[in-house]
Amino acid sequence: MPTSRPRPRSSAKRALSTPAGKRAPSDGKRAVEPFAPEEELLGPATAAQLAEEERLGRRIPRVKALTTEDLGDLHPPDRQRYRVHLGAKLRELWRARELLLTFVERDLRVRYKQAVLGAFWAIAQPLMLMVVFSVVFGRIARVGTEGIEPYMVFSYTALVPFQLFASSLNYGTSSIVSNWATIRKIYMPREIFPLSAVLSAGFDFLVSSTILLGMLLIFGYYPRVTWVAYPLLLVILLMLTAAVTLTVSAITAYVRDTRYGIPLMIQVLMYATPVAYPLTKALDALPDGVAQVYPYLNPLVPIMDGFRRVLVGVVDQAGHHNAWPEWGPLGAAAGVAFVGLALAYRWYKRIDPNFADVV
Amino acid sequence: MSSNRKPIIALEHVWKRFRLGERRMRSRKKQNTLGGQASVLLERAGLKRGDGQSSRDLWALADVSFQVPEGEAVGIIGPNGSGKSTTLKLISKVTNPWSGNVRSRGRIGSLIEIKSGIHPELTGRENIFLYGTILGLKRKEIRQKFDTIVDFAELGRFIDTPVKRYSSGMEVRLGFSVAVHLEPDILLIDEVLAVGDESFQRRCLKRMDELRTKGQTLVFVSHVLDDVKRLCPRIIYIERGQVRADGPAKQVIDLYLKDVDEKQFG
Repeated sequence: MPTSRPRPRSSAKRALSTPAGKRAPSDGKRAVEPFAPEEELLGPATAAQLAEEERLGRRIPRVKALTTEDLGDLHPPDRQRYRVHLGAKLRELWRARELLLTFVERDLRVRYKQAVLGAFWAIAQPLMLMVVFSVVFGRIARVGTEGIEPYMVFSYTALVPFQLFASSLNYGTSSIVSNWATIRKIYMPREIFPLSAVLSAGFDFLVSSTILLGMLLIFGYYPRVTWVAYPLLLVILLMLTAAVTLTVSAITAYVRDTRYGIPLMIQVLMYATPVAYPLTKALDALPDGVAQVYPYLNPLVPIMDGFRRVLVGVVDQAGHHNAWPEWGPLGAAAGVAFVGLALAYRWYKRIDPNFADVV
Repeated sequence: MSSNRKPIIALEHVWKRFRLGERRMRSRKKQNTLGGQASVLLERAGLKRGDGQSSRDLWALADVSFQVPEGEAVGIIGPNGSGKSTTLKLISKVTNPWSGNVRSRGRIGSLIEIKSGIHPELTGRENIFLYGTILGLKRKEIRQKFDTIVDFAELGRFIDTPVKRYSSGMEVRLGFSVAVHLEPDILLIDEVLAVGDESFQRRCLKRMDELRTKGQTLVFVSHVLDDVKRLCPRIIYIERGQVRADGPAKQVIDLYLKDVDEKQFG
């Protein structure tokens, strides 16, 4: 016999789990009277079980769950430790690439399906932020652009990649939780859910990028040799984004605090990264010791600054000229992104078999 | 039917532990202190070793072993709460065992619960492709079977309607139809026939019968003993997480019925 103290339980659930009414006390005390421990061990009947009982017109027998004491002489073994074979997991992911793309397509369809403006929303966020920033930082606060005019172009070059990071996280945070119905029934590599969030944010990024390209051309920022560094910056950003999104989505499977914490973190990061203001301004404003380490502390700093430098160049005493990213901080950011992604993926694969049990 | 067919599913000394809801699973101290909660979370995230088994741990499966040879139809029966669905989830790799080995080969199609893999915002058509891709099929293969699936599910002109506007019957018909026509190597079915009307249930059984004669490996969980007996020559009877009997359908069902009479489960 189980020995624990009886604890109260919601009466609604109980009522459901006693289809034949056999065990339900009829004196109306259900709400206050705690349930007997053995009742607890039965657990509520599932909807499918209830439907089946109704269809069969009879009660389906149910048994109490087996506790460790019930096992008697049979001793439960220790928990098996699972080894993560990273290569095997990556091969499995590669085989599921078509599935990944199908999920990206599904995410996009679902996201914009019932919206009248449809894919417009894919670009709305960076565009609106650009307008707001132009007014607040360009006109009112006048943070300056280090000679890159107009402010619109200055902010949008960094806003577009920043938004890739931000929306991946936004979509990815709840990706495990919102796909739980699928996760607990059908097997597939579970990293597909956060990764499809990253890739579907990548779609938004592509749309925004064409607008950015148009703006650059209109304002006379023609292709320059430094544009070849753009794909490199994008790869580093994607690795970093994937690492954070994988981690956060897995955490959300266990605790929901991320749903409040992540939007907050994104907002903070947006101001802690040179998106609305030039990096030089920030370095001037920070105390000496901090200014030196700042680009190394936040990997987004050299990435966003790099995007701006390679796309539009810099203006200094020598006039307007091409510029490459700051290789030192960018190298550090690339290292953080790569190692972070490897560790995040390993950890994710270690715990993802539990998702079906915990969410 | 040869006896030396290779097993397509093998469970070896499989244990599966689960816990009563979170509130009940730990000592009061652990629930009430921040540090206690943090350590619980760390354990669950696999970053810290747990403090062994407590008496509140429940065993959904305790030392279960069986094999299913390729092409065999096996029924699983037993009272509710015995671990039948857990067994299917372990076979389909949806969850890992606490201890022991679960091996299987090939593509696994599971109808573990109603609405498996069906996304309500997508249309019936999109869902067929989504589920097909989950099973690992190429788009071309799905396209070949598309019409058969739609006909079987009797969806007709609703095929381009979002599934959220379907009746529950239509939704089950869609899910079932996709699963039984995309011909996975192993088909797992758990009590899904409970929903849907009589005529659809009859057609499902007929289709499963067809698949079985074609050599489809089938694991079928149901409380309708007649259905199980008709489809599966072999039945595994699971009771409270352990295999109580495994053998020819009639014998096992007789034992089960005797148990139900004598033991008064539930």
